[in-house]
Amino acid sequence: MSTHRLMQRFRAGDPEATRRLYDDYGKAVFAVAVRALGDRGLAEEAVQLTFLSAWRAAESFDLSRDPAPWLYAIARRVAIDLYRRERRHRSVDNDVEPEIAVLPPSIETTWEAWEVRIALERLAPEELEVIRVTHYRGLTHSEAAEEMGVPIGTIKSRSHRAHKHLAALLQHLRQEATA
Amino acid sequence: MNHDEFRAAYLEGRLGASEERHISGCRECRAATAQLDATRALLADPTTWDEPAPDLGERVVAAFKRERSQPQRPSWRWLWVAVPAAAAIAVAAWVVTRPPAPDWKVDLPGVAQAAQAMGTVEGWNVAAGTRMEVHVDNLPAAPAGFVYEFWMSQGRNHVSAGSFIEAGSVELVAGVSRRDFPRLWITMEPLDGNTAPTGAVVLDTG
Repeated sequence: MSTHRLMQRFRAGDPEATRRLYDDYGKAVFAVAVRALGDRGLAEEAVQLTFLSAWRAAESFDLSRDPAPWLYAIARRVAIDLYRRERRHRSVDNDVEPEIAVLPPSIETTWEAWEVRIALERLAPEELEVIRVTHYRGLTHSEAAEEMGVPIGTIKSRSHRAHKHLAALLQHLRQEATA
Repeated sequence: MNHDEFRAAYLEGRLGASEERHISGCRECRAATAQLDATRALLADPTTWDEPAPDLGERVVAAFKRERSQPQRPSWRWLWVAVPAAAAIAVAAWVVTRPPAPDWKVDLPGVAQAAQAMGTVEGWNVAAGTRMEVHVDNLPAAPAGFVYEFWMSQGRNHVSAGSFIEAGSVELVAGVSRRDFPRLWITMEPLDGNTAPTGAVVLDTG
């Protein structure tokens, strides 16, 4: 299904389109929310509110545009609203005047986190796995080969391919940073 | 070694002699290493890999179905006929005191180096010109010595409606109408005393 058709069906209220949109962007929305809110439960609430807010605003969405930046903007705004709500609740409990306009400390890094998560979703499963075990878990190529039960040469070529693919997907971040 | 090969190797953390030779002679790739370092940090960050509960997708769809099944709100005209007098007085008070709907609303897409930015502008035609509420997302804070400035234009005639320094919502007023100055755009301007739009365009209705 094309993105245009997906957004058309989402706008029309098709639950399958909502599920498809969640499958495409749900993990990235969660990554933004958990980074901003620091709490899985709140982050999952933020994900639900993001897709609901997106549907309420879908009538004004330009179908010719990429939905990713639009969804990110909604996710960011929802995370900020939830952050401020939680701070107000804590302020009431502690009898302290809340800071209404405060932003989550890590909000400025959520755009890059969103882009990295979107790019990771576009890798082939074996590419994603080698990126995860080497960067997140810190395994060497020989440790990864032993764990995944493949020759070290296979891990090296997968890693090379995965990083080349990921670097290409994230090239626009470098262009924005150096502009 | 070309740029793409270097960047893939740097991202992988694989810097050998050929990579070192490349970076020593390539300003573009040297400039890119800060962003590549930030990406590597994100790849090592647990929050990047944290995933929601497996049933969250079903919960999102269930919430969506509940929202979609909500009955339509009746129009305020219908309420005048159907509700008792006391409730009708409350509705009248709400109609009189609520903010009026904007006379127009337009999307303000990001352009060029700020392609990820996006905004909307709601406008009210007032006696003094145009009052606007501008909502902007995904725009980094203006660096020191710069501001974002909002313009209404017709050809080469430009009117500034005001300035701001970071994404969010701002209320601006211009002494002209959108009918006469239809182009709405935002630039990043240096604080140099020049009143004309000279900076990089970040959002533009075109």
